Amino acid sequence: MSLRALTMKASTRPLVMLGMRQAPIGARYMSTPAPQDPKEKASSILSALPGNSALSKTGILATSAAAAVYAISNELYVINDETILLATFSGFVAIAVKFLAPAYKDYADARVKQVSDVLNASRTKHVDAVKQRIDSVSELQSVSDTTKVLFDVSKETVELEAKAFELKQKVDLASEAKSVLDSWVRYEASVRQLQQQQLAETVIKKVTSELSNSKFQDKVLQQSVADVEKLFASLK
Amino acid sequence: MFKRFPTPILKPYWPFFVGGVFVYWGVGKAASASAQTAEFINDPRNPRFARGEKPVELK
Amino acid sequence: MLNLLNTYINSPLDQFEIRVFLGFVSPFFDLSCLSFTTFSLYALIVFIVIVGGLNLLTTNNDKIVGSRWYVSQEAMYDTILNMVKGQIGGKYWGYYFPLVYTFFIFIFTANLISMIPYSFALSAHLVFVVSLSTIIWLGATITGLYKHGLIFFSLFVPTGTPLALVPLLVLIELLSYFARAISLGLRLSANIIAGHLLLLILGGLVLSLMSVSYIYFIFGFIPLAAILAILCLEFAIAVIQSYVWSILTSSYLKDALYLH
Repeated sequence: MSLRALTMKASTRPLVMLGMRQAPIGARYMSTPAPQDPKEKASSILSALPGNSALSKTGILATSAAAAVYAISNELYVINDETILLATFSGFVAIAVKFLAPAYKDYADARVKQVSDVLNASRTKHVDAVKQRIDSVSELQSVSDTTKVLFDVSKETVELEAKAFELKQKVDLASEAKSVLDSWVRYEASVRQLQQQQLAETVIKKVTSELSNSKFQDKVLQQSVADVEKLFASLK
Repeated sequence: MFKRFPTPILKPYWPFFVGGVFVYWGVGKAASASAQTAEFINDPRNPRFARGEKPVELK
Repeated sequence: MLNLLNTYINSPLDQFEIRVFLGFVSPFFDLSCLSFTTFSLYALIVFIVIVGGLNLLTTNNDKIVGSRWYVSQEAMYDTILNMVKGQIGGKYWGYYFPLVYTFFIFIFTANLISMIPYSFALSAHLVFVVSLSTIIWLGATITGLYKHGLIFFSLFVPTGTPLALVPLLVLIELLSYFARAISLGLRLSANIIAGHLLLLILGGLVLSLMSVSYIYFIFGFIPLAAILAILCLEFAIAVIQSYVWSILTSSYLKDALYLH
């Protein structure tokens, strides 16, 4: 695994990866390449060493072996009990690299994939939700015209209502005036009736009082006698 | 890079700090007491010698 | 400063020796507590590995999704979080999670670094580890006494005890409670000491076997494989002991916080 990719911190990254900054979530920067056949692998070990010819590369291996022998023979490195532990530790590291690391890699990849799946799923879900909202809102595109029409209708309604109210008030006023006038008429009629009644009563009273007067009785008798005589005279 | 978390430190952990002071004191006492025992008083690692003191004759 | 590579190890116990790299001398004061020793060096290495290696290198350049290195940190954090939640529980577990996690990650890293050949085992030092465990025990006890007052002592009476047995049981419980202070540290330290001693003694035996002749050198690879197996076991112990330390710490805290 490339440690360099790990140690590349954010400060240096924009310069290095200027071209690929818009990386998707969960890009596997540290994934190992696909398995290759052993011959290629052996040559890849050689090519990992510095230098460019096969001679210099094998030379490096030989030099390191010679350096180990020199270090031991000159007591720069003393073989003691810990050397055995160094060997077993190297064995453990080899085992860990061979068996534990791939298992861990699978586990870690699964976990990273799970997390990025969750994040991607929530992103697509959010995008869908926004799209759905846009769709539902776009159905209301003609809302302005409809509102104008509705406003006109309501304006008309208000005007008609005002007019109707005005007319109603007029009608109310007329009926009020009519009822007042009617009451006046009724009052006048009753007053007139009362006056006529009074008049008739006074006339009748006067006539009856006149009838009791003897002078008038005489006059009436003479008149009626004169009438009868006249009648007889005409008969003759 | 570092995030600040508002976790209480002194409120739940003061007994541990008190315990730490006690243990520091106790271990220091025990260390200086054991440095004075017959087994370690002439040990070359004894900080006594760094101050230039001489080895003690044991009876 | 001593050349570590050139030091011939005579006794298997010499690997636990603390050497002074940088000391301060004064005729009046004892400044030995300020010396930079093997212990300080490895404490510094553990600190750098925890802060630098385990935190800075696992941020995956501050991307939302972590790298494969980050997953290891997440798994460890999650394990300890669930353990503390399960052990302490209740209202207070969150307060004590940082303590338990710090202890776990410190002991875990120190144990694993001590497995590298020619290195030094911090957690094999009884004075240091038992001091830590005593601090935890004292802290838990003070927490319990502060929280519950004298009711704290009901911790020493198991529920449903016949009255006649109470004095005896209180005595036993009190003894076992006091033993916790030592046993927590002793468990870790003894495991690490025993593992390192065993490996080094076996290494010495195999070395003397292999240096007899070429035939023995070839045959010596069979016990070497056995040491390899023991080394794998020691790695497992290094991990398990740090987990056991944190699980016991949280269980002691639970006892002090909730009393049974």
